[in-house]
Amino acid sequence: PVDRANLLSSASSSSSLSQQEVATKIKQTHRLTVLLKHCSEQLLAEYVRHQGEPFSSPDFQPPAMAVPGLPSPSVPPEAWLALSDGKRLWHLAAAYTTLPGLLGSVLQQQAELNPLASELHRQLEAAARQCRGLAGNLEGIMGALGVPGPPPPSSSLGGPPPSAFLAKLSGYHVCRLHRDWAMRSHEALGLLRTKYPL
Amino acid sequence: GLVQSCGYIIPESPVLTLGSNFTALCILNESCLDFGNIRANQIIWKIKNSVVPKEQYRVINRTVSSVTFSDTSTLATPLTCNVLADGQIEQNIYGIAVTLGLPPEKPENLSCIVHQMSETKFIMTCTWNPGRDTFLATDFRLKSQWPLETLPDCEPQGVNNSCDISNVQFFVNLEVWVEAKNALGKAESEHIDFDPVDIVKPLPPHNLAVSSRELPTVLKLSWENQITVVVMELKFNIRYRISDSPDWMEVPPEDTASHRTSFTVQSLKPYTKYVFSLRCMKKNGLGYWSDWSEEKSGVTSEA
Repeated sequence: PVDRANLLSSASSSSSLSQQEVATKIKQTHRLTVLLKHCSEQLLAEYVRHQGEPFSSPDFQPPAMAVPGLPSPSVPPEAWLALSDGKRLWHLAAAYTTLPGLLGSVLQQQAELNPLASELHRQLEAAARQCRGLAGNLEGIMGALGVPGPPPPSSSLGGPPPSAFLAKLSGYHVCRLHRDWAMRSHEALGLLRTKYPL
Repeated sequence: GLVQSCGYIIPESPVLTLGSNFTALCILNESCLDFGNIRANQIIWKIKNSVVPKEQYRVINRTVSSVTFSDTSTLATPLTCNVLADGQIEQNIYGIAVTLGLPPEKPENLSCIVHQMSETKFIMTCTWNPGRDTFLATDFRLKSQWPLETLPDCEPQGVNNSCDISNVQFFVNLEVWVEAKNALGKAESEHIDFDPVDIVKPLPPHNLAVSSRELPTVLKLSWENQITVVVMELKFNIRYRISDSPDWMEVPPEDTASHRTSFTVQSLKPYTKYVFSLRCMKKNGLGYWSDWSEEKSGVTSEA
C-alpha cells in the first residue's frame, strides 16, 4: 500500500490518466500477459518440434543461457516480489523492448532452417507483435505511474551463428526466455492488478 | 522535334475542381510571330471542336492570349489554341488535356469488426462511407497506430470503402482512421480508438452434441468453443424447437450468461425430438454475436 501511495502521488503529477484509466490499462495489460503466457508456451513447444534432435528429446534441458541484450528473469522469486512495483515494471519494460528484435531474428533464422514451418513462423511473428504491444502498454502504465522508462533496446542476436545447431540453440534460448518473461510478467501484472482494482 | 511548335498553353495538363473558375494562357513563340505573321489577337480558343465565345478571351500582349471559364463544368478535353494564319487556314498551335473532378470528402461512419477465421486467425475489417464520387483517381488508406507505434497502412483492394487487417493484436488499444487523397486534396475521417478484443465476432460453438437423460423432460447439450478462453470468456444464446415445428424457443439469456461448454435444457416434452442451435459472444457484451451454430437434434426419454 505504501508503495502504491507513492506511485499514485507521483502519477497524478506526471500523466493525465485518471486512476480509473490506470486500473483499466493494468487490467488490459494483465489480460495481454495471460494471452502471452499461453502463446509463449505454445511457441516453445512448436519451436522444439521443428528443430529435430536433440531438441525434441524429452530430457533435453540445456542450462539457461544469457542472450545478449536481454535481461534474465532469473531474479529469485522472493527478490522479485521484494522489488517495488516501479522496479518490476522497469525490468519488464527492458525485457519487452528487447524481445521483439530477438524474436524477429529467430524468425529470420527459422525461415532459412525450417522454410516450410509456416505455423512456427506465424507464432514467432505473433509473439514479436505481442511483445511490442506489451512494451507499449507497459510504457503507458509506467508513464501514468511516473516510473522512468528503460534504455533503448539492442535488438538482435548479433552476427550469423557459426552452425545450424548453434542457431537453433540460440533460438531455443530466446523462446525459453520469452516463455519465462511471459510467466514473470503475468505474475507481476497480476500483483499490480490487485493493487489497482477497477 | 522536326517541327518547332509555335506556342504552348499553361497550365500544361491541369486537374480542376468541378464548378471552379479557370484561366489558361496561350503563349506564342517570337519566331512564329515573324515567320507566320501571327499575333495573339488572332488566337481562337476551342473546346474539342467548338469555338469558345470571344467574350472569354483577353489579349495580354502581342504574344499572349488568355481564356477564362467561370465554371469549369463547361470545360472538356482538349482545350486548344489556334490561329487563322494567311489565307484564312486555321492552324492549331497547342492543346491541353483538362481533367475535372472533386477533392475527396471526409470519410464518414468508420467502424471495424474482428472476424474470427479459425482458432488462431482473426481478420479485422474496417468499413467507411467514402463520400461522393470525385471523378478522379482517389487513394484511400486505412491508418492505424498503437499509443507508441505506427502500424503499416492498410490499402483497400479493389474497393474504396473497406480494408482488412490481418495482424490483430488483442489487449492493446488501437487508433484507426481513414485518409483519402487525390490531385485536388486530402481528407481524413474521425479517429476511433478501441481494443480489438472488444469488437470480435467469434466463430459459433461447434461439435454440438445432444444427449438425453433419465429425466424425460431434459436434454443435455455439450459443445466446443472455437475461441480460447485466454482471449475471452463467452455468453450464449440457445434456441430450440420441436423438430416438426418452425417456431424457435429460447433459453432465457440470463441462464446462459456465463462461460460454459454445456447446458441442460429443461421443461421439455417427454419422448419428443427437439432441434438445438446456439451462438456466442463476449461475456461482457462487447462485440458481436457469432452466427448460429450447426443444428443438432435429440430426443427426450420416455416418461
